[in-house]
Amino acid sequence: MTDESKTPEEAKDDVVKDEEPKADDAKSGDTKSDAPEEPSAAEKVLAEPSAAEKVLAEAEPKAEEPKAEEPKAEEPKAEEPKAEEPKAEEPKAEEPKAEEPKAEEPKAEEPKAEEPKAEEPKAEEPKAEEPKDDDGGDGDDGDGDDDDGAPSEPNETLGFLIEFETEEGLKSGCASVRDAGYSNWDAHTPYPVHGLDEAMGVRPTILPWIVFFGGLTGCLAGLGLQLYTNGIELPFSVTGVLGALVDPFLPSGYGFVVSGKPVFSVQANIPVVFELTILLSAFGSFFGMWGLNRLPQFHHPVFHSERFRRASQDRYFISIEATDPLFDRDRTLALAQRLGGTHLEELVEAEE
Amino acid sequence: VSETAADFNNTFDDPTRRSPLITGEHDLTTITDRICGVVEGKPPTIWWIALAISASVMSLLGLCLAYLFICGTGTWGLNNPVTWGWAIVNFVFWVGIGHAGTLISAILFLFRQKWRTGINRSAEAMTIFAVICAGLFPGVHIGRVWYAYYLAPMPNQMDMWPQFRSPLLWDVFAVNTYFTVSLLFWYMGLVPDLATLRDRATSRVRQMAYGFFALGWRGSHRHWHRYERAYLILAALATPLVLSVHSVVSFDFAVSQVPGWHTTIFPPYFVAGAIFSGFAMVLTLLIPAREIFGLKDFITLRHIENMNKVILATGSIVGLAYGTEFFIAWYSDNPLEQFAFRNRMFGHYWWAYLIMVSCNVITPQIFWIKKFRTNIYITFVASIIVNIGMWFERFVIIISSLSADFIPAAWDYYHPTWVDVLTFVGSFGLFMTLFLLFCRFLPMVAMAEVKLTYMELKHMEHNRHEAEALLAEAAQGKEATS
Repeated sequence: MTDESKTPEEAKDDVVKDEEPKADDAKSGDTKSDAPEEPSAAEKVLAEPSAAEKVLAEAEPKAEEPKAEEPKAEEPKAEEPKAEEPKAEEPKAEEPKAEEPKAEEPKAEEPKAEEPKAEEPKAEEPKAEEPKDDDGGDGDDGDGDDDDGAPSEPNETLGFLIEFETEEGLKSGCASVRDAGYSNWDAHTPYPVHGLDEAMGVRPTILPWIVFFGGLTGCLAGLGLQLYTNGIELPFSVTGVLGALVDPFLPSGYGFVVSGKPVFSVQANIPVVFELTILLSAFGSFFGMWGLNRLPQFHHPVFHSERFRRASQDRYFISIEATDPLFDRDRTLALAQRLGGTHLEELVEAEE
Repeated sequence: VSETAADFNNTFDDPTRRSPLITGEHDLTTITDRICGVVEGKPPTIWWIALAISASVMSLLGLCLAYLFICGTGTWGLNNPVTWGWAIVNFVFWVGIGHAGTLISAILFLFRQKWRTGINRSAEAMTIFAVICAGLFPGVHIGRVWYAYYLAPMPNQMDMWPQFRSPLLWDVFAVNTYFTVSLLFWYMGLVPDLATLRDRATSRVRQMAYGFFALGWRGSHRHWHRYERAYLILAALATPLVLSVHSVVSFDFAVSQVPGWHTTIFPPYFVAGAIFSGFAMVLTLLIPAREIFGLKDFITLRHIENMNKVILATGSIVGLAYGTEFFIAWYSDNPLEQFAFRNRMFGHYWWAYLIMVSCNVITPQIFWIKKFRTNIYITFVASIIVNIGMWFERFVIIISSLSADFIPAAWDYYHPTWVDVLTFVGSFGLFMTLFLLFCRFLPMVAMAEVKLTYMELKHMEHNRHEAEALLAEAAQGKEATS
């Protein structure tokens, strides 16, 4: 919560801090890319820092909105922006196709990304293996087409994926995306990176409440169950046709006297109450967590990336999804380039 | 799978530096490769041999159970005073084994014992398999197994309900809750690692299978955030649960009137014994497993030493409880109680009592000496001895008390039959088969947790270096000014 309150100020600071070095990075990266035809396309994008600044300028007032995070998780992702986007991009929609190289431009950076890696031979091994798995990976996501409603054109962008090699890089990257006001984005890590909550503006979860009410239910259910089955007998019995109907569903309890002890005494019922409290709290925790996380969800834009396979192993990623209200292919791309990641990839629907 | 030639000794106690929890040169990539390698590579020959033996032994269990279902519990060695025989002994034994897993995964987590990450996955798996074995015995000991559902409060036309004041019913609830919560906790921990296996899968089948159980986990930090919270809550729930389970098991005895059972010391005494035997079983399983699957870097000597310390502590608690029982029997001035304990030590079952004390009380005392704690061969043998001792503890408590209870005319000596013996042996087959399959198909070490610990320690180390550099700088500055 405090994050949000800080955001506007921090946003400025961070932007100022982050922008310069990263803009440089992007430039140097692009000058390195050897592909001769690209400069024009690349420059277009790079020419946009000014545009990007505009975005940031626009975003700043909105920077107060990152609250959207949790609610977002609960609401079915805002569909309006989606509806708007295609329209807004419709004129451009031709462009990306025509300018395919542009779409792939981030990929053109790959050689650059690999340069530092060449220093660590280990890191490259899995990469070499990746292409083999290509088909499998895409196939898995193949059925995902119907996932997000609107049947998308094969090359429509689903978002951007930025790879990082260090926690620190990831954290500063996250802070930048947060400050740019995006809501439908995420960090992906092979293990929980502590300190990322602040960098992402993640708010505390309501999970403990679910657990509490689960436990309360268990406690009362345990007590009620024992009271009903052992402690009381129905004072009436339903007979006749109605009885035949009701009886199977309304069995009476049965008070059974043992050693002259009371039929119902709380002490003797505590162990079962305790176990049921624990059991239902655990259910609340386990199922509540998956429910809040919206899992299982077998299809997601990030799974279109072959590189993303390392998110569960040894790399850190930031994904910005096209469903975000602020998402604009060019401006988001510019932002993504400034995050300081080692690799940038556009997520597109798997062809075929 | 490459192995480090000799165990790196990380058992030093140097307060100025942390002993590494992962030995050898590792980073995130190699940790993943090594742990996934066990699942992805070819299984070693010895795994096949072990699986073949375990599966054969498990089939004994199937045959014995079939025989039992057809002929009834008369095939067991039960007699008039000893109406609870090996089935209950085995039940308590197996449930107790399970406790170490929960202790490691939940209690050590709350205590922030970072070394637990190397062993918690396999210990939790062991818990689940042990509870499966345990649940088998009360399930079949009722004789007409097709009426087992009467254990649950099922609405029926007779308005017949379970008796909730009975400790046996508490047990049904405790053990079922324990199994369920352990399973949820274990599975939750597995999900991120299953996602890793999914992402590394090279075959379609693997990808689908691991992918299905990984639930589409994508390492999202928003997910991790709630995941860690849920993990903490589950640990906090499992902690009182595990203490309650063996307490409730001990109520089966303590709440009854039988001399030798009717004591208030039972709950803590049973819990300590459970942890004691459980850690012994973890060692029995992991010492060979780390060797066979090349996981010595993650399950290090220090892990083994720490577990031996727990064994020493709980073994001593158990020894103290044995002594206390005798003291209270004498102090109570209750002749029946006094007789029960005299009978335990000097009666017909003196041999069982002797085995129990020498295995449980005397054996673990060797772990006062560091040399023994850090020797895997001695540890392995000791862990088996402790397991034997703990089985005999339950045997002594149950059989010796029942065989000579109130009326001397009813006393009888208890002999197990071959069905008893083979059923128990068969349960080991079931346990080992499940564990071997686990080693082969699931990540034996909790990768995500190991990575987290690894990175935390790395950051700490980094900070320490920085602090030292600053200090050195400051010291230099001081010198310069003076």
